[in-house]
Amino acid sequence: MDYATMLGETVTVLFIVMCYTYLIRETIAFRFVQATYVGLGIGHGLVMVWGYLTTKTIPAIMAGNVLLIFPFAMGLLLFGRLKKQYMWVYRYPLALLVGAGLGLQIMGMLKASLIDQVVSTMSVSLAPTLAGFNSVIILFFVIASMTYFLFTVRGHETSKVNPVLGNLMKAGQYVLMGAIGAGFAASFLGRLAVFMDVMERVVYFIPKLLGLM
Amino acid sequence: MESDAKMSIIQKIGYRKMIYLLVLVATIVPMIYTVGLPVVVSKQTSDLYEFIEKLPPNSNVAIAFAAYAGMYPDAQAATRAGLVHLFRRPLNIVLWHNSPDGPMLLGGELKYVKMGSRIYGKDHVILPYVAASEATTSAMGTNIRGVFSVDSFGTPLDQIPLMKNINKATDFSLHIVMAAAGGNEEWAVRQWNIPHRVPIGAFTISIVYPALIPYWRTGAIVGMTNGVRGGAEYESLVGAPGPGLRRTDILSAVHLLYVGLIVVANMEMLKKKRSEK
Repeated sequence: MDYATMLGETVTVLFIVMCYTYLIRETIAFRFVQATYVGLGIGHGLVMVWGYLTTKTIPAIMAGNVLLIFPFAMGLLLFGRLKKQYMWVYRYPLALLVGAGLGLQIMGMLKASLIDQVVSTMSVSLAPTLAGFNSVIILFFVIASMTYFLFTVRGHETSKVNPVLGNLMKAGQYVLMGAIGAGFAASFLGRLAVFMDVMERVVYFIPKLLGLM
Repeated sequence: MESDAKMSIIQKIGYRKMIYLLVLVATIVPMIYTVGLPVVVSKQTSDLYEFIEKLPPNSNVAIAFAAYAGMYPDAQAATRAGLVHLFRRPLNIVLWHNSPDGPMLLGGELKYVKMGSRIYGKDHVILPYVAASEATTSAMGTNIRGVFSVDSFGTPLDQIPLMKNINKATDFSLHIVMAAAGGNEEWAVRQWNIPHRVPIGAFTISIVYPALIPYWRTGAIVGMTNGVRGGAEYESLVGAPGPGLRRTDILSAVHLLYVGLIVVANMEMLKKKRSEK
């Protein structure tokens, strides 16, 4: 291991340990790492964006592509948000961004997120296979969760008026809870991956330093 | 003092800190004592692998590399194995960066790719960073030169042999979104798959994965990997062991611990309820 890598690894491990002191209580070591991380992140992003501006946008404008002045100026107007009296300036590029974004989204969304999804949900297979079983379950889950949303009225107990609908709503509630739980579990899995990565750095640090790995 | 003496060790440490400690142990022990549990490859992962494997030689593949350092460890295994697989096959690869962290992270991964007889500019090109958005993805689909005029090294696209016949989505046989932390895959579906019928593949993180399953079911996404687990699956398919397979034991150990904690917590709650009655 060369000296630069060794220094990098040492600082990394030191910062990881300093960061995890938060688990005991909020320490000055944790706050130092937090501030450094945020500063580095913003600094890195800023350098990249600055590089993008100086190597692409400005040379393109100088080369005669004057149309690029418009998005560039719109981008500058976004900084109006930083001062309360110029807040109104910031609304124009924001409206443009939201409008253009929505317009682009709707074009593909209708097919990808609505029509194709409805077709896929309705394509029920009664074949005695796992795929067939899944297709039936998915259709039932979609109907149950939609029932929960459509027939839930504040102060009105649907289960007393219509027990079948009430049970379907209850099933829908469980489906939604299951989906939210699965989403949370997926989020946990992602964080665990990051934790594994940092712990590997800490655990393998000494063997690496000694040239055993 | 007397009540302090009656407290158990767990109560003294605190339940939350005890869980932290257990997770730490469950993470470190499998790191030192590796068991090497077998990996079952999911349908989504094998679909992506098979699709890439069946692409005809000289097919053009577009890669949007959207890795952010904060969540990258979750997608690292799949990304590395994916790059190894893509560069192993005789495919033309056009990669661009959709995150400012991308150039730094990609450099580390390309070290594991065997370039062999590959020549930069002839069968693969790396384009610079461009801010990721639905508008950029859409613009890339209709006119790549409208977004990029040069590659990562400053060479004009018109001077790169590979780029001579490439300028729009329909020039590609597959569009892969790598290591994105959300959004990019859906933009690709809406802006490349729906209007241009380009198949989409995703090497994604666990948080994004559940949201993409409906698109895989409809066929808009041909296949995808799920975080570290998907990475381990892809590594085993490609035959390139890496961080995914190395971390499978840890994943299993921590999951077992969590299942155990859920059971214990529920039993404790039921016991409490019964004693209240």
